[in-house]
Amino acid sequence: MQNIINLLENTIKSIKDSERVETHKLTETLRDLQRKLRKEVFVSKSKEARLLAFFLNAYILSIFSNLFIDTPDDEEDILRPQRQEFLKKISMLFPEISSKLKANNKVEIFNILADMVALYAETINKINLKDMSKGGRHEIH
Amino acid sequence: MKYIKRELLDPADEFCLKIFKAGLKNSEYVLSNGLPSKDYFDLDEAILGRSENMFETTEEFVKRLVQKVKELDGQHHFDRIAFIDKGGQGPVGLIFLAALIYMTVRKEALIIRPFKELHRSRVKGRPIRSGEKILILSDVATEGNTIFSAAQVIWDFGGKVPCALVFYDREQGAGENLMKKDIELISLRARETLKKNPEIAEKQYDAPKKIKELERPFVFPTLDLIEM
Repeated sequence: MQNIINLLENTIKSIKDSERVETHKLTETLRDLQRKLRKEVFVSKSKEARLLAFFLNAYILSIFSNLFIDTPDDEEDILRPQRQEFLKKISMLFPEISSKLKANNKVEIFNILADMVALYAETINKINLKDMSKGGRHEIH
Repeated sequence: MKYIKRELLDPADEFCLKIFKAGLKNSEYVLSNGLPSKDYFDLDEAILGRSENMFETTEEFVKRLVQKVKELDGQHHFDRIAFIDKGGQGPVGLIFLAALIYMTVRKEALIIRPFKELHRSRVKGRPIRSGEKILILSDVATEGNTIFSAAQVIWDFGGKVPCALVFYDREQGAGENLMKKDIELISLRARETLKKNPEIAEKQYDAPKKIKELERPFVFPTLDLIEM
């Protein structure tokens, strides 16, 4: 589990080191974290560390394949603020996971992961609803 | 409306049978819908796996396909052809043929990504205009779920889907299911017809399945590969 904590700590440091919150800087940091977490899924000796690495890896991949996916250029105005807000919030959750891992507080870790999923789903829903308000024909299925 | 099976290829077309012989796999698989299947057809493999006459084979296959698409167009007057991207790999089963097909048919194409969560990202290409008639082109039909999901995206934008053309119909309910949604499923070839060909039946349908493939120990990819 220490490896995961180290990875999260490095990520937090990298985010703090950037002078201002830039989307590309955060996404690069997240991608770097995801690649390292994917390795952990296969090499970690701890089942719990594997579980966490697997979840976070899949979570970050979902972010990139859905929330940051290519979309028509003329509609970027809807996405940009939502994406930035999402990144800001998700960045704030990493220190929390790290501190709960250090304290080995499993219930709290679970709660933070649940918050992450809620944040992801809410962001996707917000964007889709905003689409509809702009006259799109999309519906939430 | 009652579903009536419709296949476009001439049963005597030996050339297309070659493609099916190369693409049909005699083994056991789990399909993307989770169902087990002994009936697997891989079009990309059928094209790329042929080391002899690969270019001629592809060219001939596309010629026949284009002819059939044009015949369907004469009936429905499509505005565009839609390819389906199920998981970010490009048009399912058509990765190597999609551009060739729409360029030769001379119809504007689009890619539908029905399983993306942002609705705006489900269509690649010019936005669908209300009333546009779109032909969905895919490799294999099983129960029709993927085609239906793609059609739903097109309907969301106000487009129309009178029919879908697949290379191979496993005849596991897709035709009937899609007809309930007013989409006619048309195939180049369906399972029961291919089974009537003795050579294909012997190789694909009647032969014992190569289940040994499933008994091989699974080896995780090396870390170098994972990193890539």
